[in-house]
Amino acid sequence: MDRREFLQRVAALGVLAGAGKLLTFPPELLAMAPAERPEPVLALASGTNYAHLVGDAIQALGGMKKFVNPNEVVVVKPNMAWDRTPELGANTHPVVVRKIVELCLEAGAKKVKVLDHTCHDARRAYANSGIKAAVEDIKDPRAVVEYVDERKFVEMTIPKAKSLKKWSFYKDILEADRFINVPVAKHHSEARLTMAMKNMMGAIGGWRGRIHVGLHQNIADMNLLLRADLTILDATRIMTQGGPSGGNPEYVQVKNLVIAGVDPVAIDAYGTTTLFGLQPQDMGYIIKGYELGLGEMDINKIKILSV
Amino acid sequence: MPEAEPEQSPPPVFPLPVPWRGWVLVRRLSQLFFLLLFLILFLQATYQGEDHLKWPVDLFFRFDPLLLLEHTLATGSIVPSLLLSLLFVGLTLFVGRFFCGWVCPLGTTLDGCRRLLRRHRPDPPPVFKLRRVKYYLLFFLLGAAVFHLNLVGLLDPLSLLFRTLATIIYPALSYGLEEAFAKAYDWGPPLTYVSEPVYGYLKDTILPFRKPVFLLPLLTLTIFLTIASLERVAPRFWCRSFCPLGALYGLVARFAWLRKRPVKLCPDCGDCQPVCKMGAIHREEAPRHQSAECILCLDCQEHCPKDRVAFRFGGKTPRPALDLGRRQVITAAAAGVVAVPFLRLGSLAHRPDEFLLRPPGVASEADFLAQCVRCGLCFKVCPTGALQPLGFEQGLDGLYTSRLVPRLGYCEYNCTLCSQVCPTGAIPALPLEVKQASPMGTAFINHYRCIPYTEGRDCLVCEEHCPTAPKAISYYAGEVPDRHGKKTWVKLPVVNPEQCIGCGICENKCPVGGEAAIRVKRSLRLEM
Repeated sequence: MDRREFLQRVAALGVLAGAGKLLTFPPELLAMAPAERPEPVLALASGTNYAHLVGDAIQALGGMKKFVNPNEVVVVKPNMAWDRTPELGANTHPVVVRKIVELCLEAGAKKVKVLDHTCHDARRAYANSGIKAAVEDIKDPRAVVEYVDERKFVEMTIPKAKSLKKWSFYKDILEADRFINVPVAKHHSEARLTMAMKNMMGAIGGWRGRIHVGLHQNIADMNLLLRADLTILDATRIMTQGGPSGGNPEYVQVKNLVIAGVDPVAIDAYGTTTLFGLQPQDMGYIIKGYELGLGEMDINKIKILSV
Repeated sequence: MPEAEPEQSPPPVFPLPVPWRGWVLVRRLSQLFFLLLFLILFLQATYQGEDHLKWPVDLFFRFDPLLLLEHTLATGSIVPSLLLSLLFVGLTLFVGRFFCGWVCPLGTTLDGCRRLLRRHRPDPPPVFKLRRVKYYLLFFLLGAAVFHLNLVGLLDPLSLLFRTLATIIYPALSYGLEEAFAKAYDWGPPLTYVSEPVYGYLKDTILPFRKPVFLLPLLTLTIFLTIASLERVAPRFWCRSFCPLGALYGLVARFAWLRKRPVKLCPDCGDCQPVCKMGAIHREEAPRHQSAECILCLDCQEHCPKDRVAFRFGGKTPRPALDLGRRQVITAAAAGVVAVPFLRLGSLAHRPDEFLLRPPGVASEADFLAQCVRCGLCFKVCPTGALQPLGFEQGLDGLYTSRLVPRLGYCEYNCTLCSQVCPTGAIPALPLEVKQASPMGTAFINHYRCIPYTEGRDCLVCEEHCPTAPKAISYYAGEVPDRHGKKTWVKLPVVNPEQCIGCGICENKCPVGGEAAIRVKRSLRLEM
């Protein structure tokens, strides 16, 4: 099965799921995982115009129209958990998020919701990350930046999970036709690094501190349910220490990179080696994710399309 | 009817024009306007996407001369923004106690409560005896203030109303509405077609961003309901008998230039007496109209069947004495002074509670207590709900003063809103960088509760959230026995006290239930 065929199948499956969801809302359907591992193909774009980087990376994967069909509802989930300004590298770069939203709109999305379940006060984090203003600046009524609504957390069971059997998840993300994960690459004290898989912490509810005991398995488990159609890792600048909140510009290294793909494990594995010089085997949740069949962690099996 | 005294007659024939009938309507509109303004400013006291508040949410407090006087006595320094209140004092000297009848949002609230309670009885005589209590309270407060005991916030009507709104009425309202709309949301369509747009609108206008919760709800409710239900006994009972701000305005209004005519009840009528909600004119209790009590509601003018009542400037008729002698003033002030050590005994007996944290930038407990007017503006504005009213832990001295309770909320590292709204500067307005370097306390880890130390499993939630750079919480790899007794390597968090500012986010986010495994103590750096 080649990439194109895979993407077509994913799209068909998504449409099927979307159609099924219109009739009913069975939790099992939401938890439906692709039978096979996603293709470990990553697009790597490098340059200083971050909007172009995003466009190029997605183009290399076949363009946003591969991932978003007309009239679909898309949730874009950046990391905007912290009351920190863009240069501190604690949140996804606003230019990256804005470009992704624009591409979704160009692909004909009916609605693009940008949201994150923040750590700091959501109003402060949304504002000072620069993301709220950047997306609202598109001035398209289809693109909205929404605060998390506590009523929308629904309890879900994850049958295949090894540790996180039951937890509360954000309904809008589960229900969306398309889910695009836009993490930022950062140092993280307990998890060591946070990129694609760890970013799902912002898509869940409950007492999230409790997830941190047995964190690696829990991260892998929640990714069984939260499967992004597309992941775009913001490595325009990365935080190398003091993460995940940082706060000192000296912790930040400019890398001018954007990595896109559909395999979150491959993205995390590749980011671990390329960006931080560590090995995927050092990272608990990458191993656990690989074991659960969420993706590929062997660097040699990951195909890189450099742009 | 008893024989009229000579000076009381004749029922005057005024050569003056009949006063305009619309004044009562104007007064009511003014009351409504200021109540609405108070509520609007209340709602504006919240984070709105920018670090600096645009609205002067402490406006009412700036016009409160009682706060100015008390603060000046208690601290020996003047808060410039409070000097605006002198404008109202000047105006009172001119027209009388207009603040109470035309402006005071608590007075308007009580007028509203009275309408709901539907009281139609003559005032019981003890009400008139109690009038002097407000003066006693005023001088008591001023006397205590000289010795740095600032209790004005407990009784100041604006503080009382604002903190009641902030800590019980608004939270109850938002809780009720949120629950109702959540229920509608659970039921789903078609109800949500209507309820969700309404909810969205309310969320954008009056509902808070996060549901507020505050300590001491029952005490606050009891105090407020008591004051409101006193309207059953007599109209404006609180204003007549207890309000120290009313007393202060009364002292000034006694010399007001604007006066009611006729000064006495007309022998052939006397309709003013049942109409006057302040009992400012009464055949037995207040034979001469008392401008110290009159709040210029103008009901007497409105109801006068013979169009005799008018308010005019000037006049030489002697003014009635206050319900207050020199002796009482001295006694009350002395009582205030004497009360200082008694009220302080509780807090003097020990140092402040180890976990009593004050808002950011507060350097000295004594200075803070001398300045805090317990208004609740900081409770309302704090984006995380960290600032909470203190109970009796520090005695009456500390009741309703602001404290930081990390389990309920933490101090946002980049936020200075509480210092922006504080009307007296009890929470000092520091530049952000200074505030970020001012410790409120110091975190310490309870090794008997902390997960890595006790269970041998990684956690580090506290370290992850620590906002300082470098982090005040770091970790080292250590060997800890797990539950099978097997030694495992885990990341053990440690606090660097020199770096910690006591913001409390670690205690707030700690996944250990009940008492957190990391808590913020009053810092050694705070106490000498």
